[in-house]
Amino acid sequence: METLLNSLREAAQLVVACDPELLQILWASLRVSGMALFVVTLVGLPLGAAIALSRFPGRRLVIALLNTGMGLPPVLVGLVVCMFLWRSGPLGFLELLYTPAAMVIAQIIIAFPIVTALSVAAIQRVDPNLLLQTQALGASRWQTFKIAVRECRIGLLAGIMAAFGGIISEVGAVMMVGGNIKGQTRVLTTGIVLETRMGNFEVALALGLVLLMLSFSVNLALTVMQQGRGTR
Amino acid sequence: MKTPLLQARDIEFRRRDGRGGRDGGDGFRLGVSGFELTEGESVALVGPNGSGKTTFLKILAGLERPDRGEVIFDSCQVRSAAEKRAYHRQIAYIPQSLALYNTTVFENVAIGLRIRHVAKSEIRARVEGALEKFGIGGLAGRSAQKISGGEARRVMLARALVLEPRLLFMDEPFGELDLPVKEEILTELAGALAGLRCAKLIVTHDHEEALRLGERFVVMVGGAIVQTGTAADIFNLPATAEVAAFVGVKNVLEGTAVSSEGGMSQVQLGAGASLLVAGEFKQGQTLTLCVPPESVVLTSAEGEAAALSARNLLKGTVTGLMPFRYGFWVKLDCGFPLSVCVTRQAISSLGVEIGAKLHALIKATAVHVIEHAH
Repeated sequence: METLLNSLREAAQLVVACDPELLQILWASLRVSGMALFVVTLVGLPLGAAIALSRFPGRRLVIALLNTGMGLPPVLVGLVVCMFLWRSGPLGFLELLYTPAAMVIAQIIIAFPIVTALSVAAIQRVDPNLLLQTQALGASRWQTFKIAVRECRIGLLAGIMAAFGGIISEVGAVMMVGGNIKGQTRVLTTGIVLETRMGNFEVALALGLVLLMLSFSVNLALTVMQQGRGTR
Repeated sequence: MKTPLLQARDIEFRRRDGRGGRDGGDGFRLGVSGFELTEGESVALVGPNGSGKTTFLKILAGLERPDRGEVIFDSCQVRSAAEKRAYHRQIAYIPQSLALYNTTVFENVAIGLRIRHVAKSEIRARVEGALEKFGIGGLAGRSAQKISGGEARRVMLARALVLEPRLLFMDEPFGELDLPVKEEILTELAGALAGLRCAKLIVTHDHEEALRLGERFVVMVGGAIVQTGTAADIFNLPATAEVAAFVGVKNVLEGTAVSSEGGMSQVQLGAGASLLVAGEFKQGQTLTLCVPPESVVLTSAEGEAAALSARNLLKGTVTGLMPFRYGFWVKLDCGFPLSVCVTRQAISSLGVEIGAKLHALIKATAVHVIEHAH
């Protein structure tokens, strides 16, 4: 019990003191997951909307695959990305293994089905009458997409929040493809694993605290965006 | 003869099962060989529930693709996505169920203009004008999710009319509104339409709305157009028994012509009862007779009855009494069932009660006769 309290106190001190190493790890986490989330939103959201708004053969299979993809084990994603990026792998010539770029790729693969599948679900819940009205007003595809997105922004943001929560706290994939190199590919989660193994519980806890605070502030910002406009 | 604004030719439509598979032969089918709407004309598309009015409206509005046939607007085909978009940017469509965007009332009305890339300053002026016309100027900044049913219907009308469409499609635009609100909105709508040279097609099952908004009536039954004409044609001279039932002719009777002479025919209605009607018909011809309830006169004394010139004097027994807005429906058994509408005062002066014996007088010329095709 005393260890826990002491560790907590020291962790809090580290956070309050804005320990440079801590900040560096925080920045790496934010950069990798933020980049992955940005790419995934840019691709997954329109793709989800397209799947929801159109009819094509195999559509249900695609939706089922996306839903399955939401539960991809990060470790497995890490392994497969590793195999592609190994020097002898098909993409080995890119020399990306153990770089932040490799971590972004792995996190994109994890987050993509989450954002896409939840976008499909959100846009499918838009009232068909409203879409018919939109069509009758003479909206182009792009205008229809913008209107549909605005209608279900709450659901879409929920998908983005779920994806962010998934990748910022994921450890398996970033560990495998990033290698946890200090100052380069060490992120909050891999840092926690390492410090715990070395017995530096207070540092591990400090990293954990930062992770929680980061998660909280991002979700708070998204929630304000979501609820604030939704209930005006 | 100028070309019509909107034309539909050889439309065939079969409803598919919503799940993607095609349903068996017993699904809903719609077939319309020809339909036209001229510039500035107002047409009421009426018919019982499930007759295909909404589907036909959607086909005409380019929102449902028929299996066969074509829709032509202003001499242009409405078929490809681009053609439909160009068409949609000249018309307005008001769906049956409430369809409001999750934004402000102002934005809900402005959306069509934004889609059509109208300049911002013009949007403001036009939307404010439209909101004023429907008395909802004060709601502009309110969320469309937080307004009443009547206000929502007004927003939908304003959204359509702000576009100054060449053609306005309305599918039951007053929904489930109660009478006074509907009355207010009808007046506002008339005001908003004044000065716009806009053709209108309104789908409704409500006679009053149809009469207020339609110059021409198109009656649809079972996926087909069964009659077209003015209100007087439809209400006084229904073409089929279904139309008669739909327009509210309570007495639709099947009979057989037994004799005819001097422009009059005697029609046998079941056992022992017959009616004299205007027109000469072949003996043995099957006919459907429509007896307007308001043209039947009830009297209690036979002498009084004889003094009137009506050719049909029937003895009947009252079998039912049912109140309605302006009096009572009296059900009479004259050898065939006959419904008569009677004012509240007349009920007491005639002594109408269940079992009472009365005389019913029907002018031969008041009976509308529908000849069967076969």
